[in-house]
Amino acid sequence: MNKNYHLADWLDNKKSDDTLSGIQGMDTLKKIKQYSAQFEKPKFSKDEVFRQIKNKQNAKKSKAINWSVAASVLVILGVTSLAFLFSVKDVTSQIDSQQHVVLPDNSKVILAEDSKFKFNNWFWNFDRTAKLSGLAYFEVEKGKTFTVKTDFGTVQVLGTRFQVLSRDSIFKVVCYEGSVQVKFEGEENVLKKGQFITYHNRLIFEQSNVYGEKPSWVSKTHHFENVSLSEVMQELEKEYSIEVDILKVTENKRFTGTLPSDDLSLALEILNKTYQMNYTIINENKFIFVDNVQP
Amino acid sequence: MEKELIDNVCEEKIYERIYDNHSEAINNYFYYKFGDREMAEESVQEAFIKLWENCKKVPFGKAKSFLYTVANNLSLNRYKHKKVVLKYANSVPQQTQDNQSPDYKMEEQEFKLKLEKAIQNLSEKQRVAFLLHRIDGKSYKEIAEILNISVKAVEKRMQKALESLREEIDAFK
Repeated sequence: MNKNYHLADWLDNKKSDDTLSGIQGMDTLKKIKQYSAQFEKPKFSKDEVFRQIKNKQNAKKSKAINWSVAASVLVILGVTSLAFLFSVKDVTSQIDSQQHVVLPDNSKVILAEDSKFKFNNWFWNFDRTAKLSGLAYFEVEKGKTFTVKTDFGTVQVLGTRFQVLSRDSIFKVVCYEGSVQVKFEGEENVLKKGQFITYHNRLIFEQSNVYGEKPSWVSKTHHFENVSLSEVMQELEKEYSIEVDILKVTENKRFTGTLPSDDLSLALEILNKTYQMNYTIINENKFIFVDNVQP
Repeated sequence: MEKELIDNVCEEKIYERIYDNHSEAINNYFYYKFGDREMAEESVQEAFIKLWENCKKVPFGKAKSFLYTVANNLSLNRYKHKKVVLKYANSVPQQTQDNQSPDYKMEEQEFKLKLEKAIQNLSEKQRVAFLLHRIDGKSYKEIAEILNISVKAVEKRMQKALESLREEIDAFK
């Protein structure tokens, strides 16, 4: 189908006005042709647009450079973080046993039962930061700041011996040597040797003194300082889940000393010697003490 | 060697020459299509940036069609069609200088307004083809290239455009 578009040809000056005589509205068509040629071209900021194109070209170029920089940074970051991730050590103690960890700088950590300790093996000498949940005793070598993070607060030391407990809603820090800085909810406290601090439900619960060189669960001993026999016995009852009867014993002196917390018969033997008494075993868990009558 | 140099659109001078030759036509093409100056200029920018990015792949002779292809493919959905506002040139030599009664002038003014309105009401395809011819002085062949259609199709659009314009203008007589 080869249709002829006379009007189109006429508009394009390929046909004269005469060839279209007889077409409806020729007057109007002529005017359309005449006036439509009088329109101005739309405004176009030719130079300005070119300038913007140049700007964008440059932006793209520098973007390209940035991308390559960004890419290498990403690669480096990726490798480092992989190394970081792979060198993170996760130590979890069993529910019924303690675990000893020696850090790269020879600092020692003793994890109590059912505790979790996390540190970075490779980066340890740059950043002595570890994470703890549960109970642990630390003997830190002198050096850069040593940080223990817990769910509740942060403990910072330079080199000392201390214990951190972070479990349930309790956060407790005990200092056994030197000084320990405890950060909790924006509050800072410094503990000196023999002091401890406990936060319970985000409130300071108690802050007082302890005796002994190490926590009893670490040294497997219990240290007593000038306490009555009944107090010692109360502790033993708690520690070994036993029942003790000392009603028949003459309490004549106070006790200062260390008792093992993992050897009941030895502990009882020591007390027997100290107080010159004897005990009768009623059953596995019950002991009755009487004064040892010298023959 | 000389020819290779000319062929290379990546050459700043060549690139500038292409911009010089085609930027305005592309701008006007988009203006006739959407009636939005900002959008038209942005389209020019995008088309030429694409050309620069692909300068190694586009030989000089293909630059024009590349530009229009890119321009046609730009996603322009974010723009709303606006009215195409046109201005009559002031310095048009009056063919009827000797015949300027006030009545005539008024009639002329009235017609010009009607024409502008009628152009606004043309379909996009007809309007673009019509204005490229009337304002930019593009030949039917050039328009066919720009729109990527046949010359016959351009003629058909011109024919239809003229018919619709006349009908609309005469309807208000």
